[in-house]
Amino acid sequence: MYLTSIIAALMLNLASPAGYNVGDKVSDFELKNVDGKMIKLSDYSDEKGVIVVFTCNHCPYAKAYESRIMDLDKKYASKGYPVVAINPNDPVKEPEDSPEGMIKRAKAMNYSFPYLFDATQDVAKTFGATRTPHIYLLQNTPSGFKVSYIGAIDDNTDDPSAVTNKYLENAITSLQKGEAPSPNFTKAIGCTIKWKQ
Amino acid sequence: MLRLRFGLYLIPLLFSAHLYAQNFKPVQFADFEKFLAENNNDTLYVINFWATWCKPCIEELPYFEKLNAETQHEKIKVILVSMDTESRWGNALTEFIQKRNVQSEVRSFYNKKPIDWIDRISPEWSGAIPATLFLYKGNKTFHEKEFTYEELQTIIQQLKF
Repeated sequence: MYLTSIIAALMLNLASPAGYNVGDKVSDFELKNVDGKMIKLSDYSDEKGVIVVFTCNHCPYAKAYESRIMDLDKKYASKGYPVVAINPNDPVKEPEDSPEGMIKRAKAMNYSFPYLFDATQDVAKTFGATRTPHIYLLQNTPSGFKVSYIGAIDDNTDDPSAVTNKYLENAITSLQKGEAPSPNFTKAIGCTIKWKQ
Repeated sequence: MLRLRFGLYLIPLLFSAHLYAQNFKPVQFADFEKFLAENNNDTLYVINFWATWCKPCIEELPYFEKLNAETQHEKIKVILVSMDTESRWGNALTEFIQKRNVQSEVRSFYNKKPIDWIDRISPEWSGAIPATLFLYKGNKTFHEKEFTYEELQTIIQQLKF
């Protein structure tokens, strides 16, 4: 009996990878911003949605997307879709991604959005984030925030001018039209999140 | 005029041939996929996805190199597929290969859009590196994780015996 329940649990684990899928309701979370203030997802309950970006300082792919993330907030915050950036990395494994490093980077680049530190890594685990950068577009619904798109910002990391599909922007446009984003899930190469040991 | 143009086209070709490390070869993804599909023999292919800028990849790379060195006479083949993009092939990647004296075969894809091939390597791959694909007798086993040498040995034992 005990064994079968373990096997059942294992199979369930294989069937549905940990974390949110598109359509799932998002639990509220609270993390510390680079300005020292605590920020909750529920602080954004007046917005149409939130662009949650798991990113960091050190990862070359995150660096390649940094200016695009900054542009996204400039373009969409006023339209009701602000960026909330979260660094989930263990600073013991990646010193560049320490809270001090984050404060420095946010100041140097004059981020217009919060840059939160996921010290326990619980938020990244709850979302099911695996890499940086990893995007979750949330839609605010009467029953709370729901995941409407997971994946990449666009289809070309190296060369923003050679992008042929702006997945995230297209997903936001779909939401603005009251449509479901398509695709609602994309993959990209990124740095593994540096989990605590 | 025509001859001049032809000559100009040849220059980068000649250059690139000399610039890359000997054991590095960029390939089209379609050719790599064909290679994967056709090699369902009794050689175990250990295909590691990495990049010169990826710290955990660099940490586990010596284990793949060790495996490559120790299994020269066995039916095990290590292939290191670099996610470094084309602009880094001639400098960063080649420098890395030479400096670290990397002996395993190194490959990289010309195709610039990983979204076109991540799922075709394995649907289990989220896109994070390091990641490793084991191919044996047509069966694929995929792990998105960093390996220790012991873990590599264990998984090879499990797959081959």
